[in-house]
Amino acid sequence: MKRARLALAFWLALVALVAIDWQLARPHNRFDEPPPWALRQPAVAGGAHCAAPLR
Amino acid sequence: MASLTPTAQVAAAPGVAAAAVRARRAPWIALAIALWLTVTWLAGLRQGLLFAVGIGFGATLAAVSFGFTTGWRAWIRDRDPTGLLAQFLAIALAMVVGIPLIAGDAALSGAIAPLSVSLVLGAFVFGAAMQIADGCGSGTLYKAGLGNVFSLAVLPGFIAGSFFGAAHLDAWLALGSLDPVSLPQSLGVGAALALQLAVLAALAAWLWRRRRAIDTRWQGRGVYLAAIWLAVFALLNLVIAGQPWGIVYGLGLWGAKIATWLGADLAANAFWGLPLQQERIAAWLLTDVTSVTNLGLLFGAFVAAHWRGSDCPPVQASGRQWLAGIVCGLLLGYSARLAFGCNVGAYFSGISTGSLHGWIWFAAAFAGSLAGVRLRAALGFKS
Repeated sequence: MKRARLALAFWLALVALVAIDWQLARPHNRFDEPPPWALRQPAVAGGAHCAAPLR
Repeated sequence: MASLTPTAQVAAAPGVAAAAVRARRAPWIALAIALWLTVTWLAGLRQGLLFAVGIGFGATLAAVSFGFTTGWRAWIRDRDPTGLLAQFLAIALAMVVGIPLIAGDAALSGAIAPLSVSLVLGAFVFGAAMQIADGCGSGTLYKAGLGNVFSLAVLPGFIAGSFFGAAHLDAWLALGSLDPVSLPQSLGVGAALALQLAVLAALAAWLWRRRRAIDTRWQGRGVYLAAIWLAVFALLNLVIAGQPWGIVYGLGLWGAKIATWLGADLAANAFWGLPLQQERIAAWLLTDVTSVTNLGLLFGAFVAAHWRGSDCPPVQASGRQWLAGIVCGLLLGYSARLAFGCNVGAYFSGISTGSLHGWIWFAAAFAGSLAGVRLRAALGFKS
C-alpha cells in the first residue's frame, strides 16, 4: 500500500512537472512545428543530446 | 437458468480467462492512445511519434527485464553472457542501419563526443554507481515506471546530478580533451562497420568461451527478441528525431527547469547559458526530443507492468542501502554528463553511430562495474 502511494506520488509529480512547465514555458507555436521525421528533411536546430559538447 | 456441464465449463474457461485479460488490458491501451493523441495535439506529430517510440523502449525493457546493469553484473559475478550478448546484438543491428543512414543524410547526426579525461572518470564512476543503484539510465527509468521504490528514490538524485554535471562540464573538460572521433568519417562507412562488428563479434566469442553453465535469469529467446526491438526503436528515434536515443540530457533539462523556477539564473553558466540550452529551457518540456522519449519510456514500463498483470516485487533495503542508492543516483547523473552519456547515450548510441567515445565509455564503465559489484556486495545487497 505504501509502495502504491509512493508510485502515485511519483506520477503526480511528473504530471505536475509537465503541467507547470506548460504554464511557464514559451507557448508552443503549432504553425512552426518541424516535419514529422528528420530523415531526408532539412536539418532542424533545437535537438540536444548528452553526447553534445559545449558549443 | 441453465447451468454449464463440467465439460462445457472446462471448454469455456479459457475464453473467460482471455476475456478477463482483455478487459484488464483495455484501459491501459485506451490510456496510451489518449496520451499519444494529447502529446501529438499539444507538441506536434514529431513529438507524438517520439513519445510512441519511448513507450516502445519502456515496454520492451520492462517486458524481459532487459537490464544493461544486470547484464554486466551477471557476467562479472556468474559468467553468464546472456545480457551482454543481447546488448551487442542490439548495438550491432542499430549500427548496420544507422551508420549508413547518418552518412547519407545531413539531417541525421550521431552521438559523437570528445575524448576527454572527464569521459574516462565519468564512465568509471557511472559504471560503479549503476551497480549499487541497480540501474543505469534506461534501467532506472523503466524500473521507476514499474513502481520500483528503490529506483523512485534514485531518480530525483539522477535528475539533480545531470543538471549539476552539465553545469560543471567546462571545469571537467579543462582537465584535458581531444577532438571527437567519428569512425565512419575517419575510416569510411564500410571500414568502420566492419571494424566495429569484428570487435563486437570477438568480444561475444570471448564471452561465450568463458561462460559458465548456470541458470540464466533470461530464459528463452525473449531477451534477444527484445534486443531486436530495441534496435528498431533506436533507429526510429534516429530517423524521427535526427539524433540517436539519449536519456540523461533530458533529465538534466528537467533539473535546469526546476532550478530556473526556484530563481536560479543560468544565463552565465558555461553549459546552460548556451543559446541552444537557453532555448531548450524556455521551450515546453514536451517539445524536447529526449524528454518526450523519457516520459514515453516511463509510461511504457508502467503499461507493460499492468499489461502482464504482475506487480513490481517489494524492495527490502536497509537504511544504509537506501542512502547508498540515493547518493548513487546523484553520482549517476553527474558522471553521465561528464562522460557524454550513460549506457544509452554513450555506450548504445555512441558505438552504434560510430563514435570512438562509446568504446572508451564501455571500457571505463565496465572497469567501474567491476568495482561496483564488489561495493554492492559489501553494502549487503543480496542480488
